[in-house]
Amino acid sequence: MACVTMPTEGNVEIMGLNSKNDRKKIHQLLGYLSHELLLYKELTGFENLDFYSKFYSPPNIGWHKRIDELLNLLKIDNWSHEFIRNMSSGIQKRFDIARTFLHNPDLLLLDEPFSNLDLESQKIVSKIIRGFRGKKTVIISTHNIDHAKRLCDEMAIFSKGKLIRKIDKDNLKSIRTSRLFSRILQ
Amino acid sequence: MKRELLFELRSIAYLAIRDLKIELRKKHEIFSILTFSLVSILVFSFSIDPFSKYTNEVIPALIWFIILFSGIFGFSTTFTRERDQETIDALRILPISPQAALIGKTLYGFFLISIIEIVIIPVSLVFFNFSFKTNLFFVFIVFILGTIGLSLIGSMVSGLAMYSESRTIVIPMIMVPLILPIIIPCILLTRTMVLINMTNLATPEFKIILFTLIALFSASIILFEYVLVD
Repeated sequence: MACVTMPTEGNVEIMGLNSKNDRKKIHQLLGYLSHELLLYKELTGFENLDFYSKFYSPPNIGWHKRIDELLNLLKIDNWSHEFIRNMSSGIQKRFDIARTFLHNPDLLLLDEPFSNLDLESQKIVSKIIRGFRGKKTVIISTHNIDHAKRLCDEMAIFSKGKLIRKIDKDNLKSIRTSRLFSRILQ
Repeated sequence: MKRELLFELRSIAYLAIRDLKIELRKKHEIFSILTFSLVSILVFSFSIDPFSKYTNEVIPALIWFIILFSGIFGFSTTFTRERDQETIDALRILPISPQAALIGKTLYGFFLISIIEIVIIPVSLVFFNFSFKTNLFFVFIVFILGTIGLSLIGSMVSGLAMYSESRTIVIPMIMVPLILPIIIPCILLTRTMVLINMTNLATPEFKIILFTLIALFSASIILFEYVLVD
């Protein structure tokens, strides 16, 4: 879905764009948080964000203000001139989240956004994702059903690459995680 | 169309600048390549008799041999470093074409090898005690074209071999046969420029270099999408 690799079969249409033929256009609209860190360890946090910003259209406020805004929001402004390799995994992850949100994408694909994050960071990221409700499409891939229940409007459960259950907004809050697990295991 | 082309050109420059910044910050790779090159010149200078009539015929081959091996050392890490640090997906998620990624890496390789050439050519002039009898502009053109060829093939092969476990063997095995149609004419032209005063650069060797570069560039542009995305 992130158009990182070519699909072996089938096709994904993202906002009317074809994942095979319109990769460049899709990447302009998409913010992708991988479970791997997509930052350069020999560059500082600010340099990484500055590098990525060069590939997107500048926001009204300008890139430096946008970067400062994100650094403040994620409470990493004190780390901006530190090399990524010298940061703890939690701070690295926050910079990677800042990279994902940098160009204000309409669609966010977040793969395990809470892994490596301490409780404070988890709260900050949850708050940001909740702030997108009604404004952006956010797809979260996670093994943590409780996180998904708290943040998502809809949930789809996949097992061995196949969709085994889809839960809509009305049933999401009422369903018990333990019951869900037992059903998945069955 | 024009705006898109400008965006691609800017992206290529940003990618090359980022790689150069990382390389110059780490320093150990460029220093190990420079050390290899300088030690090679020093070792060869002891075995070459400066008064022999054959010396000037051998020196161009030695210089290009050192540049080739420096390139192999340098390019073995171009894409593999991205793969090892798991940042290869960073190139894939950028809104740029795979071709821009390849040209960005080629440009970085070109600057890296140029830095090495700027050091080793003057040093070899002193240690091998030779000079160019031709207009230095022609010498410059031949070294530029040779370096572009080396950078392009090195980047493409590094991309092809980045997932291979035995890439240290695979990269020279693929790179050397591909680079020969560029390196051999470069050696012949450099030898001519050391021996006589060339007045015209449009020789068969020069045409072979240009033709090979165009063919390799076209093939790389067509194939690289499958290398990076598939």
